[in-house]
Amino acid sequence: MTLTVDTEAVRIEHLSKVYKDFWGRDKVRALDDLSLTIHRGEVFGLLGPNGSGKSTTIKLLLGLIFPTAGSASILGHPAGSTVINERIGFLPEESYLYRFLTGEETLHFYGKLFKIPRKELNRRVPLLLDTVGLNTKDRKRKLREYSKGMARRIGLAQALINNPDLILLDEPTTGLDPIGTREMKDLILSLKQQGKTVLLCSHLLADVQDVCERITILFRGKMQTLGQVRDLLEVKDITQIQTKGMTPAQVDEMRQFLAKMGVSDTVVTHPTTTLEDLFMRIVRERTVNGPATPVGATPGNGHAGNGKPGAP
Amino acid sequence: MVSTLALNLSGSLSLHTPLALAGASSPYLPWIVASILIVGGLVAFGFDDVIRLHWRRIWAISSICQTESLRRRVLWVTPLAVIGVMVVAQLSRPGDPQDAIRQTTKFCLFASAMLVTVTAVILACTNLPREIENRVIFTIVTKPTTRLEIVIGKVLGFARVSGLIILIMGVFTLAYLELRTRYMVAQLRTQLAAEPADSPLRPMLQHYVTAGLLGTRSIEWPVDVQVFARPPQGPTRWMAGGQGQYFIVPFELSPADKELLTQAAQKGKVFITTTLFVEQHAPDEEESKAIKDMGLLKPKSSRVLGPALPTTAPAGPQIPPPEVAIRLLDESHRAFSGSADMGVGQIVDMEAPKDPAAESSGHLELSPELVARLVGAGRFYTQVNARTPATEYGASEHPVALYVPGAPLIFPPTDPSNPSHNAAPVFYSFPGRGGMRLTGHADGKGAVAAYRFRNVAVDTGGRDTVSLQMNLTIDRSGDFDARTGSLSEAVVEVINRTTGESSGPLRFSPETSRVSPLDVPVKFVAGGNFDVLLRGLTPGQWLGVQNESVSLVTADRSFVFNLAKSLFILWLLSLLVVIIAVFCSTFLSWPIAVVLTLLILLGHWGVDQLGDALKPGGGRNTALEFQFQDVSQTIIVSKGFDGLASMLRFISAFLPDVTQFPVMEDIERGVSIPPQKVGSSLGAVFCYGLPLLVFSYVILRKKEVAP
Ligand SMILES: Nc1ncnc2c1ncn2[C@@H]1O[C@H](COP(=O)(O)OP(=O)(O)O)[C@@H](O)[C@H]1O
Ligand SMILES: [Mg+2]
Repeated sequence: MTLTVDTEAVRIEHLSKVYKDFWGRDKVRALDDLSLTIHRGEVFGLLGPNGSGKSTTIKLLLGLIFPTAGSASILGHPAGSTVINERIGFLPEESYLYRFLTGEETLHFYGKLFKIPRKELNRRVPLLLDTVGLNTKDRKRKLREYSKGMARRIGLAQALINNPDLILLDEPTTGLDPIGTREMKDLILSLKQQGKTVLLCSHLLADVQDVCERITILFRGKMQTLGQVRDLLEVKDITQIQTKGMTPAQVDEMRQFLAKMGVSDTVVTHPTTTLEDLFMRIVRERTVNGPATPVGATPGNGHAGNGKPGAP
Repeated sequence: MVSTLALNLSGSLSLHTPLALAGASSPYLPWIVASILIVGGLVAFGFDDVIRLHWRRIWAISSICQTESLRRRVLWVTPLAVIGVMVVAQLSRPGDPQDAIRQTTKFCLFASAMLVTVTAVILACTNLPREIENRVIFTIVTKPTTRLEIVIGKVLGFARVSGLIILIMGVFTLAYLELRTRYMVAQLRTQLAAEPADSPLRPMLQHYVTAGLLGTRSIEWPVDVQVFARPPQGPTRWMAGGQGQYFIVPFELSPADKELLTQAAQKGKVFITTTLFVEQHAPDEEESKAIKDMGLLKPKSSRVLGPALPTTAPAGPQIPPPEVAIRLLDESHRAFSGSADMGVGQIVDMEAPKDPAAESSGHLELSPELVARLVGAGRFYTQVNARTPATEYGASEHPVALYVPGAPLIFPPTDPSNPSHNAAPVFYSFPGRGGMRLTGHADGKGAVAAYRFRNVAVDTGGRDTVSLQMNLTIDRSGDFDARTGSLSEAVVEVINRTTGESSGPLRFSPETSRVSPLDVPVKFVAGGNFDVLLRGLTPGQWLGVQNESVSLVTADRSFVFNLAKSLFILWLLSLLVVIIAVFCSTFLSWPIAVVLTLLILLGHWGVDQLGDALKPGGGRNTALEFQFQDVSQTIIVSKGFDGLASMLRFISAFLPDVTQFPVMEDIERGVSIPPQKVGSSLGAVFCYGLPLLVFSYVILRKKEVAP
């Protein structure tokens, strides 16, 4: 599929960043000669342990800091130019927002920075708040009263206010409960369905595995590997067979059959579900009135297709 | 004496330019420099950002600043200030109702100014560093917001907050003053009813009851004031001996003059020659005493310097020979060394002319060293002091010249088109407590202060009189018996220079630091060119006169409008403060930004306050005070001090002048703020504020906003 996308969303060439101290001496080499290309319409994962340079990469792409060497371009414009900000959404590591504003006011403020007309904002803001799952009461509260998860949700909403083509998410699931995490992942998938490009930074491997097509792993500022998630994770010399309702006798028979074929080291177990799936199931079953509808259930709704000029 | 003299003169001689980059800077220079900086900075660093500028984003950012301030309850400081003003206003015990209201006005404006400046500095200095520190800036600069919009938005936002504070304080000021005035006028009315019909207080009470206490007027000031012995008439101006009167003549040497003088100093002699009419009269009691004290009747050779010894000379009116004392001053009105050996100058005898109606002359020989100094300076002043009591000296157009025997006299050049090259003598008297001293004389023959009003626009509004405001200081000389406590008296004569009509003497009673209004029929000021001649009538008293002592009320104005102008000037000041604060906060942490903001704001004013100490040559005086044994040490201290002083003066020339924001001075006196003052505030905002705004933008653009 990636082969069919011919345009680049992000192009990074030999990007390096050395943080200097007050006197201009080198302090930390946070990013070292990173080169990669993100295609339009894909969900790209930037993986790596804490302090490996993920946030640094994103800050460089956004012009928040300036590269020591190398260059980057976004949607055909050099990184950091104000023009492309019209088409970008950014969710920072933590939700850095005005804590004295309410959720609604926050979105209105950011909307105004995009020169979105007032009428359109009045329509778009509630939809967006629905999408990220902030209930009507919470929207009127000041951000300083928000829990971390709620702040994360409003942060995501402000990143989507302009219906962006490229969305940069820095550790989007930190602070979210498992439902929130799942909703976030569903949202990312629905964004992908709308043809948007997503750059996802995370150290939570499960997040990345579930939504990303291609990933790169950073370690100490250097790129370690790059490729399709499926290819990277595939263990080539192990074959897995899954069936339903086999009796122990049948299992024994199967084992003998495999031994006859000369296949050794056969392991037969019952698959366990992930804790996340279990949690989800329990919460869903117990909640009479579920929280907000999962985002994935209403793809194309909300922020999507809202007729913003310049949207694809 | 030297410094007080210099101070006294500086009003009429020094030129103040807002940005004194060069000696000959034009008043437009700051505007031009500012415009170049603004346009250059914007075009060079952010042409696309200028094109992308959008009011909606700017307004959104400014609204955030405002919302933040409001939600942090910044406006709660206003009730505190209001309470403070009311307490202070209640505690103060002013002299009369008018003072009470004016003081209250001043308190209110002062409180507003303090409040607004402090809030503006703190809010604007802390904002940007905090947003960078807590990274809210991340979500702003990653939107299509340019950094120019951020800077402008922030400045606008805090200017909005200042505006709100000013508005609240303004409404309070108006309401409070209105209430207080009403209450006081009601009180005055009852007082007026109770006062006996012949009470001297009645006119004042009547005036306040009818005119109210919030009266505001447009005022015109005289062009200059000089002190003479007689009213100026004809080509000759007179000064009286023994009363501290003198005149000053500026000299400017041409290259040819310099050469002539240099040669003459080497071979021959150089003189200062003064040519004056001299008239002497029999001294009265006071003058006789002065003559005796000065020892003027003894032969010159037997006189000693310093305090005169008691003499045994026969009593009775005796007229001493006329003398003047001459001193040569440099451009900052300091005496050249070698020229002021005797306090007021070197004593010169006036030779009696053969023809009694002709002028006498006196000659002062200059030492070769002094001539060299004068040639080096090129420009200098000659001060001629009238010394002998019971003597009047009359000066015509050119009373002083440089004289080299065998060569034509060197007169100061006259260039009527350039007032600073006007070589006509200017008459002064030595300053006392409240300005130049004007000696009182019961017969009205004392010294005269002549105020020149020129091109004054008088709006009579149909009235047949206009009001002159006299604001004098009364000084008592030693032998005046204060216990007699009689009112002082003075007399004014207004002469219309267009029609030549004179009002004749108008008597009034001046009081120290109190404005005495004096009604004058319109015809004497019609046309706007007139002189006001002032004399004291109380013997043993000096009136202190300054340029500001006499003014003409040209129109009555509304107080509300005046308050609005004052508050607008205050808002402009707060705008400048905000810009400076935002500028500092773009590259400094907030505590240092606060300090730097205050330094920038007060630097110019502070250097002005140091005044004389930083003048060229101040280092020598400072070094001498240390009394070093070693000459080289003295030189080091002197040079170091001068270097520091000139550096400070240089830096301060680039700093904004907060005195260009006259929030209080006029309104406090009940004077309508002239539009030029609003203009000068606008000018300061333009010349300093906008370039700083552009600098802030440039810095922020080059800045990594991630901490
Ligand atoms: N402003 C800074 N000054 C100095 N070092 C920094 C700065 N920001 C990040 N670093 C360093 O750069 C490295 C990469 O940081 P970052 O990109 O934030 O990592 P992460 O992958 O966890 O997002 C870390 O070692 C961090 O300490
Ligand atoms: Mg990070």
